[in-house]
Amino acid sequence: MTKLCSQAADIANLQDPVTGTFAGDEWGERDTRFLYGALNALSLMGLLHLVNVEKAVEHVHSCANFDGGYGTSPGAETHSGQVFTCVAALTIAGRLDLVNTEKLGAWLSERQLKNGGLNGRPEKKEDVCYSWWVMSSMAMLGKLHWIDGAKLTQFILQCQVGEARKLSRAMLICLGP
Amino acid sequence: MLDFVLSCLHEHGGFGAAPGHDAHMLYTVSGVQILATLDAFDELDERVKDGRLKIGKCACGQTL
Repeated sequence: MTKLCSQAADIANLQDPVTGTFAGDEWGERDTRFLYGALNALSLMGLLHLVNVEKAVEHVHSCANFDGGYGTSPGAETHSGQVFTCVAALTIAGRLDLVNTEKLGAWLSERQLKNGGLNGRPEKKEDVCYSWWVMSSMAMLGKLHWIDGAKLTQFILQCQVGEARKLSRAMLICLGP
Repeated sequence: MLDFVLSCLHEHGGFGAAPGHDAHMLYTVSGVQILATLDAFDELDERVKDGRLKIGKCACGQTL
């Protein structure tokens, strides 16, 4: 606490004035998770005017890849979690017009594997947590029907184990964005 | 629940994962989301002077 307060004076801003992105803490790790987090919290409190939304939108747009998706920073590989944070940030900013919805919707739909589960990137294993990141993104893009919901439901239910009916390891090891 | 959430709030407006933990953006978002779910922004401002603004300024880095 004291440490944070004493060092606070040295940290001018979590939003990088040049790139428009955000850091997560005083140590300055920056990526699109924190940008989304800031816009989410500020919009819930009606305080979006405290940041440069246009600059943040510019940064998200600069993270767009050839496949229509988004990574943690410009040039970084598309990942379902970062797709969620970037699409959600653009949704909050009212700039979904910048998203290539057809291409991104197609990429997201390819995340569904034969067993119904969703993965985070091509050639990776399915994991329950991506049900949230992918389906939330699909909902924002208006393309929920591009995923087989019945098969996904079946996959999620198959991940239930034990008497406590907890979701399996697949859920627990994925901390998400 | 509100008591616990506010016990994780730092003076500068950031939330930690638990009382005494360092503040971080991700937990600050969680804290705000819980306050929004509980519709408790008014109570926040009653309990913490300028609480909403303080958290907002922290989220964009003016105080962290």
